[in-house]
Amino acid sequence: MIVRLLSRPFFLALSLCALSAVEVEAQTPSPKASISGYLREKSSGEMLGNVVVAAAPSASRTLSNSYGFYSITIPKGQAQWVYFRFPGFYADSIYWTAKADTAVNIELLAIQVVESMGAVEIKAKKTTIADRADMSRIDIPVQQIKEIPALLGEKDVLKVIQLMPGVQKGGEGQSGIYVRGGGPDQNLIVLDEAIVYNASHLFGFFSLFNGDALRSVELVKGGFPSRYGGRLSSVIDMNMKEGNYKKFAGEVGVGVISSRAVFEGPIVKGKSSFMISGRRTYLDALVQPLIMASTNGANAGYYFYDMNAKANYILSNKDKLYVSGYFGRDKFYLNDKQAKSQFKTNFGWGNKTLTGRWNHQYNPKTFANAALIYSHYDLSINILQKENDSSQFELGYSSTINDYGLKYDVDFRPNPKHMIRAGFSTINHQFSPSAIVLKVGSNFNFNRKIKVINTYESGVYVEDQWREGAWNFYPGLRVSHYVVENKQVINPEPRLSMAYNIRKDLALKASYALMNQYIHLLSSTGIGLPTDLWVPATANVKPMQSQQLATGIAKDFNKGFSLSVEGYYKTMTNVITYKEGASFLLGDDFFNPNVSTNDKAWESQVTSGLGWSYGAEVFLQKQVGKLSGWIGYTLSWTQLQFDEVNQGIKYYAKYDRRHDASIVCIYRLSKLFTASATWVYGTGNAITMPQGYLRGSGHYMGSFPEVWDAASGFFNNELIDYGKRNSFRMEAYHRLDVGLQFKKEKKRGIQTWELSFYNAYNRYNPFFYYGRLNDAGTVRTLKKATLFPMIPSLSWTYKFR
Amino acid sequence: MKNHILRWIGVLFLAVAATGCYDQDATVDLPTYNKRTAITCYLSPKDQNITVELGYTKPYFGPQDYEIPRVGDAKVTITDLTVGKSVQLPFDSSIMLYRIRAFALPIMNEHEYRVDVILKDGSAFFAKTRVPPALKETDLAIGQHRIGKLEANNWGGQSVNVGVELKSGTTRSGYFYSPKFDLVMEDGLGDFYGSTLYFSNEGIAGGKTADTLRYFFNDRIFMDMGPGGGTPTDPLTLRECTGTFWVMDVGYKERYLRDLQVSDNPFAEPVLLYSNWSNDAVGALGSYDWVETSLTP
Repeated sequence: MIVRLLSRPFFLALSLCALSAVEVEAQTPSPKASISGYLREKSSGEMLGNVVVAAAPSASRTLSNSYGFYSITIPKGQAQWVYFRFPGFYADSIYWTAKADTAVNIELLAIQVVESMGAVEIKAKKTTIADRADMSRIDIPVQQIKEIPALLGEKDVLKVIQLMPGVQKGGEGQSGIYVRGGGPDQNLIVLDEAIVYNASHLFGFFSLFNGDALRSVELVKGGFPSRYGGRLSSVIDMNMKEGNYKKFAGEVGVGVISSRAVFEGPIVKGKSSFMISGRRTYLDALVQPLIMASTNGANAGYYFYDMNAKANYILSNKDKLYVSGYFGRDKFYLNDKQAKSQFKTNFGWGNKTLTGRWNHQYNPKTFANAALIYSHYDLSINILQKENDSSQFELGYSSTINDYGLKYDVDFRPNPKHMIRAGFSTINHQFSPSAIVLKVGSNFNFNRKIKVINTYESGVYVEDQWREGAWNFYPGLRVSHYVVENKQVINPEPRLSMAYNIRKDLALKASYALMNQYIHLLSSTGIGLPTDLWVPATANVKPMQSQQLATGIAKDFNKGFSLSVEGYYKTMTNVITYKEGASFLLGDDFFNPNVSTNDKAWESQVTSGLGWSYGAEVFLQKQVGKLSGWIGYTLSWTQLQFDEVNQGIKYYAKYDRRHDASIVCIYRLSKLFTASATWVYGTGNAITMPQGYLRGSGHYMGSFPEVWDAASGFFNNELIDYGKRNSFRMEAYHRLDVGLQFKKEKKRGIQTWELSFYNAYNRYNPFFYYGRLNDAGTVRTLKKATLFPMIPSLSWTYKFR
Repeated sequence: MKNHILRWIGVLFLAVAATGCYDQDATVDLPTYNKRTAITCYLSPKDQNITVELGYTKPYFGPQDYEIPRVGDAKVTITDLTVGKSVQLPFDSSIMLYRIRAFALPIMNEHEYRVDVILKDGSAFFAKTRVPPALKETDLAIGQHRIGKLEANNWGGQSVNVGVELKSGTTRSGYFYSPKFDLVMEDGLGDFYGSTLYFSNEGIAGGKTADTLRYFFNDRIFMDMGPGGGTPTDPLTLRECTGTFWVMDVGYKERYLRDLQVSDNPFAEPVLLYSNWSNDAVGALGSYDWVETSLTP
């Protein structure tokens, strides 16, 4: 027998109960009985992952997986209340007598849906953090991403992730993220199972991910589940919306620099749905007249666009197919064509992903997902300069990665104590790190077509979320396998997270994770420019490895507050960096015809070393109620050591940040108004600045001297003494952003106006520093360039119902 | 009302644009200036003198002058560690350098030398170098070469593409090698044109025991006016080539390369000064040798 109730108030629960779709199917008898099925959002039919499913009085509990599948098994004959809880949704429950395996699909109702219907506000029960075994994991609330004020009104997932403790931003306006001392290449950014390499638009100021198209965003900083591998520092796992199964819906938005739209709806009602979203900037169109006027007719501009699309089909109650993809591109262009000359340049980069998935439920306890994945990243620079027909310079530079992947995962839930996952994945990476075509005049041609470097990265894993009384264990093992240049590496990667519940709402936690990374990002600037080069680990450039130990305490409080405090210690080996003075083009000897056979010139430009990061993080969060948000604080140290950099002496990483704090507040003033504010503070970056100079020494630097002689051999040059690497601290970074959203219900939807102020108190945060000599040449002062003053923005969104 | 709001939004944007927040004075302490002793000395068997330049660094920020700082009252000695002989270098105030004639302590290939500097305040610094092995005239040979056709360039002159291959003799690990050569080309009118080609950082190769090095040079040469102001005329033919082959120790190479790698890019990691001196002094003690030879095209 099943009775179904929404949590509270009781009268509302009763009324909504009638609206809920409950699917019941009796199955094969056994000594134990399972209740399993899918959790969906009521209004759209979208699957809900990470929903807490708990049974009482058996005290069994589990989580739905990212496809919404859940399963709980208990001894037969017991009568149970089964609860379903998810932040931002009303808790739901059913009364179930365990007589036989039972399939029940549940639909949870989002709180905002009720609010828009004019009902009184009800506080939903929140997910507790104390009763979870895993640690260093944060579910980023997608709805809150839309309510947090952002630069130029562009809602940005990665910028919100930067507000979490343990995550640092690179610099002013940058989307690059630095997790627990790791570089931007050490984050596994996954969109519907496909790896995304360069996650930035506009040289890092905006991220690729259009918040309108996302259903869930999860950040893992440590204690990594063994299903994840291939990066050292974090996993950002994003899933696109599936699309509304029940009705057509959409949302359009117009902002200061871009417009966006998302449409979704059923293809076959209740069986199949689609979602498509797009975004494009129009800065190029806005500034084009100014550029043409100031450059005598040159055509120049910059734009980016991106598209997300997803479709799925429910073949049966046990089988489901998904196809999803992303396509985005940035392009800078300049074409200055005059009567007898032309200068033309194009600089573009972009990502494409395509994922096909098949979900299959073998039985009430076993769920599987198979995925075929394609991911592509490319960068291209083309320059053409013509003075007349006989004088021409052409440079073409390109770098490409193609990934072809296969993945298979199985969820097996034999009993309420165990939630076992196992699977494998394999990816064929095809790298073309730097291909160059150079033509000078009619008789100089340099054409280096890079031989594609094929690497194969695979992993087999098993993990178990095991609950034993007050203990929660999350052991796992991943074995990674990497093949490059006919050489192979096999690395076991043990993982363990554990938690002990002192009380129901208070837990002590600890975790250990060993990670390997078989891909490197070569960056001469450290700010995540698209010119940074992704290269594979090779026989000469070894894979990176990290070990991370973390301990913490998690506490749930009344009124929806939760607090976690974590400490971590991480070591990294085989971290690479450019040698001093090297850059992405330096390894390319244009004048050496033999180089055309050398497809790994970059190897000579890099050096490998060690890294250490340790610190503590505090995260106080409130997910429900009129006032929601969080306070995050991180105290950390990050150091690096390379034999060929800084004379081999250990130094602080550029993004070593002693103090990093963020406060995010979202306050729902009324049904119509929502006010929000974020304040961030971070210790200044550690950078290398001139301290002194050395004058009058050195040999003549055009060629070696013919004969050593003080009169002619010495050349009066001036060399800068930078002291030790990163020995200068930039000013502390802090900024307040505020926003006000005004929602108005219209006949066919909800209209939202948002006014926001980025950097509301107009703090001049430094972007970079430089020295300036006064006109008389007698005094040099330290100056800074600041990127963004206070920037207001206004945006308009209309959400169709 | 709507127009009124839009007007105010426009005013707001203009106000923000007018705040112009570039070129701000930094509100942070200046980078800490540590006065560091600067010592430079390059040893070569070909040099007639042993010379040491001793000075110090000056602050990058704050008041500036154009003095070349020198220290003339230090005790500077050089020791041939291979034979165990030392000499002190006197300060020559006319050239502001410590110098002694090389016959006082001959600089020999493959000998190890140590230079000690003791300042008046007692601060002491030292560094060591092992002079590279001697080169022979036969260590460098010209391989294949080609000279392209003359082309008009953007500056109203002419350019030509030249490719030359140089081969070196046996090299030694632990040392670094680089060639340089002077070309003489004859044009279609019988006039001669000279050009010097040398390598920068890409042209310095690490030696490998019992191995030879090959250098390929392919560059676009800007042609000067010919004798009497005439312009060069096709075809150009390579007539003479004089090569200089350099060998250097790591100190010389590192210092040379670092000096080439200065970048104005504010985002690029700056290149730190090279130093192989003790006690946080900057500069290099390096050694090198070279041989000059005529190469037959």
